[in-house]
Amino acid sequence: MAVAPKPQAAEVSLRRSVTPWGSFSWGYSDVGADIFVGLGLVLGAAAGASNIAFLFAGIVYVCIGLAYTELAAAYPVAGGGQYFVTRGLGDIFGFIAGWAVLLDFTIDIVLFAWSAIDYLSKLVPALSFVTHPWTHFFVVFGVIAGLATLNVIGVRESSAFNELVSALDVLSETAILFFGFLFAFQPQLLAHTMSVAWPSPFMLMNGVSLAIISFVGLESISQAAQETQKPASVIPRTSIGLILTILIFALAYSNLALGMQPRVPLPLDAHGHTQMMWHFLGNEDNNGAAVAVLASYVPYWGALAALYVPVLGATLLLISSNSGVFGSSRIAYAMSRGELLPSMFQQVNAKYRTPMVSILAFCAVATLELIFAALPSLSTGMREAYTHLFHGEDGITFLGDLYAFGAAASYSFVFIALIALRLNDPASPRKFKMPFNIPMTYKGNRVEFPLVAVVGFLGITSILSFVMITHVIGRIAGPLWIVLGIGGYLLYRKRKGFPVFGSRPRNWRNEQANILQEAGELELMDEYIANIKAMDARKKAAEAPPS
Amino acid sequence: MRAFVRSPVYVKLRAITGTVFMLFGVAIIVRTALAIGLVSAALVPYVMGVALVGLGALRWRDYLRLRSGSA
Repeated sequence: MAVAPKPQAAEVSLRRSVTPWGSFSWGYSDVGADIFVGLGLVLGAAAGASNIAFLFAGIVYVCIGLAYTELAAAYPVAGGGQYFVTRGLGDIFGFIAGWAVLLDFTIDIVLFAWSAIDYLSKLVPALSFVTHPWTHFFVVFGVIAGLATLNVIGVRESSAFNELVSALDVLSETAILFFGFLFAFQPQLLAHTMSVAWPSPFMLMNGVSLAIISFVGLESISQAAQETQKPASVIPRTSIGLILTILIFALAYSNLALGMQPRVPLPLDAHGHTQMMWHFLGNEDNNGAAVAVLASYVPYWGALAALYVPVLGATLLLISSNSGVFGSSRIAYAMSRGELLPSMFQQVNAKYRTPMVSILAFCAVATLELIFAALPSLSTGMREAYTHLFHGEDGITFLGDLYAFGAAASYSFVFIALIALRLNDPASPRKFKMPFNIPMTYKGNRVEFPLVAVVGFLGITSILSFVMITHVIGRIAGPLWIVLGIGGYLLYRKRKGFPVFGSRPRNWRNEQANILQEAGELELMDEYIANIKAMDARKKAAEAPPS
Repeated sequence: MRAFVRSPVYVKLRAITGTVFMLFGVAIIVRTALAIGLVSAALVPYVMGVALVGLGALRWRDYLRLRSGSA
């Protein structure tokens, strides 16, 4: 089949104006906010093994990050995981991966809005979830409604603002960790805490399943790829820095929480006993704003940090919440264009030229999730019912459960898709490849089998199983979301006359050439076309009868 | 912000922050080794120290690339 890239500027596409720093900050404003939510939850579950939970999830995250970096550099389009999976495994798996990502984006909207208000409550106690649950509920709802409105009328936080907040946050977190490790970290205390507060295997699994939420948001790498100049070169450079930065922050905060001697004594617990830092950060009062509380106990910097970290954290979390609104509508739009979702999700409002139906639909789902998460704190009867049915999981843990489920489900498919694409699409140039590959011949072509993808797949499926084992709500609501989605997908495909379990025929070769051309990667496009020609020639020679 | 990250000052800053990260990583490794040695509880601080050294090296690589004008 001939490969013919279309003439340039044939249709309107996203402007490629994102610089390397812009690409880094785009990812950072999504993934960097996660530790603000994850730290308290993991400390509450994994106690003295919290740093081990972060290490396990962090290793899996590095594998995921490398996979996204390779795929986003090779296929620089904004569809993210669902695009890679559709391309590698077919329509139905692409739908499942995209549907799981959509669950994550809706949770992202609620969880980060919820957590942003938790951080602000450290400065404005009237917003506290524990003492004023109704106020907290209405403010979070107001934030979601506000973000939905802003996205419908087409206002998005400027990328310059994103870049500034990311830079301030990297500086701030580095300063907190610098002062914390230089003046308060005691390795002996870390070893002691790990030995006296080591959790049960069940709670360790619970902690690992929650730790993965500190590393969610790598979809942003592929989102950025669509709008980055020379993505095949820039994305690997910025992604590796992003992956390492996020990993270091997660490991550093968890170590500090377990091994830090605070600058002033901690308050006594409800029973009048002294408490350790990890316990103080992981309790219901503080787990929603653990980074701000930890920062306030760091010597020298803590007094200042107590004032600005809640505001900086809340700002980063609001940006992340907004990326949930924006991302869900964009993914739904892309899935609808790929005939994986009904066409109503690509309807654009005539006045504002934004995908209003998608924005409102997924914000409505987010509101339902908010109500479900807040109910036990709003009503004593519901609290008793949740205690009976769901072992008393609190609202933020419920959101964390589902967040972990959606991420683990979609990432599992991405690893398989990466392996499938390595085997079935060896012609696409890959300027960045995951390390540790086994060269082999597959269908007459030389390919490289990615060992790290297998390690990552095993890691993420084990985290998925931890979520299912340890979270009562997660193991019901997560699969229910997937099953309902598959049901709707099958009905839609049948009604439209598309293959129900199979895939619609698509000319991936032309599409790939167009993608590289639009990305400005003309050398790679030429290389791709030459590879295709060589592959076809080899195939023809192999099929020709011996003369 | 954008002008700053494109300026020669920021190029030099990469080398400085790269050095700071590497020193910070080495300090954590050495301090942990002296305090508790090679025990399982020290695993995560060691990994963190190595990651910091890696991040520092990455920034130095960027600095050298930008300085030679091949970015």
